Amino acid sequence: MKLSRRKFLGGAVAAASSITLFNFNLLTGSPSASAADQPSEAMKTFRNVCPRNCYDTCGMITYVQDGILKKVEGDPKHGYTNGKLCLKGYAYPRRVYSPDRIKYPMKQTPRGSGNWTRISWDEAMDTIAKKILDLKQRYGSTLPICLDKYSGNFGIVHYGIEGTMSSIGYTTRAVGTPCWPAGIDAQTYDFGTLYSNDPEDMVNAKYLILWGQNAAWTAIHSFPFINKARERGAKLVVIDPILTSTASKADLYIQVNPSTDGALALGMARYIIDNNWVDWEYARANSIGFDEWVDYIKKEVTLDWASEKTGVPKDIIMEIAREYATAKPASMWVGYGMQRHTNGGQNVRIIDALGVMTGNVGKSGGGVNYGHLETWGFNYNAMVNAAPKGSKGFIGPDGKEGDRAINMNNFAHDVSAQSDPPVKMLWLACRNPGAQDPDTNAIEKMFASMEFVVTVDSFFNKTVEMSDIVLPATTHFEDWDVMASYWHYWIGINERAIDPLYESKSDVEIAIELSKKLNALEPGSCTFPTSGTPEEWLAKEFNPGIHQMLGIEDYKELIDGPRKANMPAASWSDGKFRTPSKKIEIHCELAEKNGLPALPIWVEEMKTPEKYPIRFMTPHPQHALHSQFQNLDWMMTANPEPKVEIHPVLAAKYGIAEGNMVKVYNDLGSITVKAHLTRTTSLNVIVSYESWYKNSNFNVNYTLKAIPSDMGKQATGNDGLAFHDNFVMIEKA
Amino acid sequence: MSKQLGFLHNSEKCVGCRGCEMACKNEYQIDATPQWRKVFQLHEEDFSLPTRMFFSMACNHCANPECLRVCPVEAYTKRDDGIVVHDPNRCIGCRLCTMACPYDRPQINPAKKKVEKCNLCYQRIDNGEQPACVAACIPGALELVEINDTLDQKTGVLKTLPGLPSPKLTTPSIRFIGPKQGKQIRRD
Amino acid sequence: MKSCEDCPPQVFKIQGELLLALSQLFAQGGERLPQTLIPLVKSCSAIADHYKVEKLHLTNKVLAQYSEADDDEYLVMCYEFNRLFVGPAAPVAPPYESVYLSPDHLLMREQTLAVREIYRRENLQAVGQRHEPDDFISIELEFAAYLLNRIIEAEATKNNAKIQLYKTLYREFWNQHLGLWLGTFAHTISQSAKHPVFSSLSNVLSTLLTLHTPLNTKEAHYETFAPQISRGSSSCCL
Repeated sequence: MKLSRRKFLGGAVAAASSITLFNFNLLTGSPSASAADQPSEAMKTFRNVCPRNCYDTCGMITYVQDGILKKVEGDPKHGYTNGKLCLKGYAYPRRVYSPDRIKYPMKQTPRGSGNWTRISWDEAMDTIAKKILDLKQRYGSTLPICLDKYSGNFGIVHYGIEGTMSSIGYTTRAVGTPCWPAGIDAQTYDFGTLYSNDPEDMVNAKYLILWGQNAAWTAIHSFPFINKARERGAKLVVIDPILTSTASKADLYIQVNPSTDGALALGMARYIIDNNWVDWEYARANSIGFDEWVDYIKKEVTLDWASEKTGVPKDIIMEIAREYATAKPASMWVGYGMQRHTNGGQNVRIIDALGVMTGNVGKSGGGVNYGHLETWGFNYNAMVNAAPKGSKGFIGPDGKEGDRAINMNNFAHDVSAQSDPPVKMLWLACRNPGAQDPDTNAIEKMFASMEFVVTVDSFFNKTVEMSDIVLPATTHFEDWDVMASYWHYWIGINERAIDPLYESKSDVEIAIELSKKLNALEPGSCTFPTSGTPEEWLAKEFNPGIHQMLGIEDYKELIDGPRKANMPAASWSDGKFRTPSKKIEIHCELAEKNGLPALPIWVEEMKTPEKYPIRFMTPHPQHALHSQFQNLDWMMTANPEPKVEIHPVLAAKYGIAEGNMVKVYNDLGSITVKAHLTRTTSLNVIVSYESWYKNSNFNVNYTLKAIPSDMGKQATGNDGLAFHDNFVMIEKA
Repeated sequence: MSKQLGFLHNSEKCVGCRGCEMACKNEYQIDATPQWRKVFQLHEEDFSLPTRMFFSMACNHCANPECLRVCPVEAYTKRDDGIVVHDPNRCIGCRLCTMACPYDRPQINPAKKKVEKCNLCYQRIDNGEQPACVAACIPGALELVEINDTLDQKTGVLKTLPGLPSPKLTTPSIRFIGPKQGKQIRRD
Repeated sequence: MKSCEDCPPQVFKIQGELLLALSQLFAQGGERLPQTLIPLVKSCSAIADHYKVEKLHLTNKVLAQYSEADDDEYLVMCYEFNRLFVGPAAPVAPPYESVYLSPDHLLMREQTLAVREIYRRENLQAVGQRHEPDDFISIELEFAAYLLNRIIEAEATKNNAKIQLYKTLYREFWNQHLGLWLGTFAHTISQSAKHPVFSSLSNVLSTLLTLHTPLNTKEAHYETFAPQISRGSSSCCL
């Protein structure tokens, strides 16, 4: 029932207030009162881009009516995501309007107590600014302040978070990436950087190997291209210790022993050499050290060895070696899962070399595809701020003064290890180490030792729980931004579709407020600009290079639709590699200098400890992206609880039946989770997908040690994490 | 009835991404509990090799809809194009239809105490658009089709999948292309 | 308010004062309880006196007692207020109509738009429109108090047409909005409150509903189904 319609007193705004003495606090005269017969606006659409840490970085169309987001759709003008979203993308309206959202700046006293008071932005900024100045005074620098920011929002303007820190002085920075650094370094050593073919070019492949890659869950928009290649006759091979949804679709699924992917590739290489399917011309013309590697293989690698190591029968190694080498072109997609091992980077280097030896690098329909950053050449204007005059920094090994870098991938330990000066304050944005970092117990301990913790977030996750002040973050529908992908070649603009809800602010808006406060308290203490609308900040990220790459003259053209970078379909097709030698470095001196093998030779995998004989893999979930999405109501209905996948034979050994609660534990800690018996996993591997469920303490990282992977330092500052070299014992709970 | 619209689900292409499930919820902003469309995983034991295989099912807009037959308040109607439409304004939430449907697709909304189900996006179809789930299907596993003899005579088109109720009960307007398993090299 | 039509202006006044006291209590938040609790006690007392509601007197005693609390106690109340209504953890009883009346318990739903439209017809809008949901409890309460004030003003000028008009508007607004969800809201608070002040606040809200019962002639348009409440809960007054 609606109230019956009445017209009042000519509808003038002033009328309402002039004839009543009622003292309004929350209501005010309505400027739209004259439009009494148009209660509802027409539906408007806006362009958005999903900013999550995901291959697909989807173009979105957002439907807004009366200032309220009504639904989302895929953007049909986006050539890779083609007007479709994934299950997480469609759940966005639930995220924006969840009553669980963090609405106001709030302060917890003491930290971890659950005693929260609401504070104004002014008080929040005042408290934070005074703490910054206090630490600076006590320690003579801002180095006791540590930033941990990563991938919660990959929008370019969000690099303003780093800019916030730069603008107050030299600080301590969590450097690195937990996600993909070993593989990045592998490709950096081999090719000079990571640079994958246009994924749309997969349609031209005659043979496709997805190596440790579960596209069905983590890169669903690749399927039309994979399917197209298959329709044209390509065979799909999936190599993975877990029979994933992607592997279930393969023509051939190979359940490789975890962390032995390099041995499999070496076995293939041996067979390719033995049969002289080597593209000698390409390899010798474009690489250095190739013959040296061939000699190594001839001397050290046999098919029997490879078969034993990997658990893959010899005839299968021969079959895929022959098919891969002779398909021309054949494409490999190296997933991030397979490099999360102590020898993960080295395994990627071996796979790279396999691509080189068969002449599949630099070819349309080929490539050893891992990811790229070719389309990320923005100004990072929000990030670049000079330190205030007189700032004292950390003197690095090169004698230069600057920020103090600590390892993002051993964050708890490295924060605690700093003494000159110690870390006293954390600033967390786009990051939830409480849920996502290894060794949660260590994280909790480290947080407890801090003087002050500030977290910017939209939901009350484990990290917020351990903070002094939480600042409410806008969702991407409430921001202006621009997003590139590390996989496809498209770039899209993100419009402010709805006003920021409650008192939420974007990271740049927060920086502006903080700068105003700091400079009021101590003039000159912060260099972050204090003006500019969110759209103006966005505009400052563009440059002629980006314009040219996208064929535009102004960023506003992107409001008409996302654009694809004007780049060749095949990476490295010009043969101009970015290594010191300008060639593919099969023999890589830089790797050698960094204490790694110069050649892509076999490096032993981590051995299973006797006490903890079961490998516990914790890959990416389907209903979530790390700790985002799974807490939303639709996801909680569709996927209400976490499970651990156990092979029936292993389960029987420990007396575990379907649905039993299982304790998974090791020296670090334990979790208790419901068992699902399935032969999709291997005999000695249990699997539970990392995620943050609403009202649940489930967190796989209580059992996860911060074991580094072999590579990552060169290009990302720190080695990666061997997430998949985690060993546990299980028992019925 | 001039024709019968329905779905063709290709389990060979479906990777169980659940995009259809959530696109349906997004289109109608359906409450958390009812799932008009749902992706089901087929039983691993029904296959010669372990697998993750799926099919996606909403209302099957049956030729002989049991829901329509049992509904005491005529909340169900069948359109000329075969779409079975449920009218929540007439529904009294008696749940006879949820009990009668062999596919469990009319869903009770516990908050509204009424039944809801897929209406095959008839408004979108009337506008010349695809249903939201079909439009959202990334691997192209879900199609809107006309159920007729031509379709049924195509090779590979199945009227049911293992584990599903007999199609003789209600003559559902859904067809399947069965899952296909590749070769597996396993260590168990 | 037992027979709304015959209420003398001072009854509208004390009624309006209670609505405003509650509005301010929620609007200013847990941190300002030292300022907002006293007016609430005062207006409850006036209501209890007028209607001779013994239960409200008892409830109000608790409120009065805590309105004289020391700073530490007020801080405890503030934490509890935020746990119940604000966050940053998912609040137990989010103070927005659509959380209770929309079947999916989200914000910015049809209820939000419906009250926005009602305000607009009075040439009003929420100060924080498009940032803060229009069906935030404080805004609805303020609007209801405004309507009562309109009746008082009309009575002062003996404008019968306007008196009737605003009485109707008030009745409709109560029956279609506040009256539909305050019960569930109050119940949710009482189920979870860990501090007597909030059990009392819940009682005040329930009493307010009881006083309006004669107004509440139409059947609820929505099922109430707050997430924290088991179905078939009997103490919900709808």
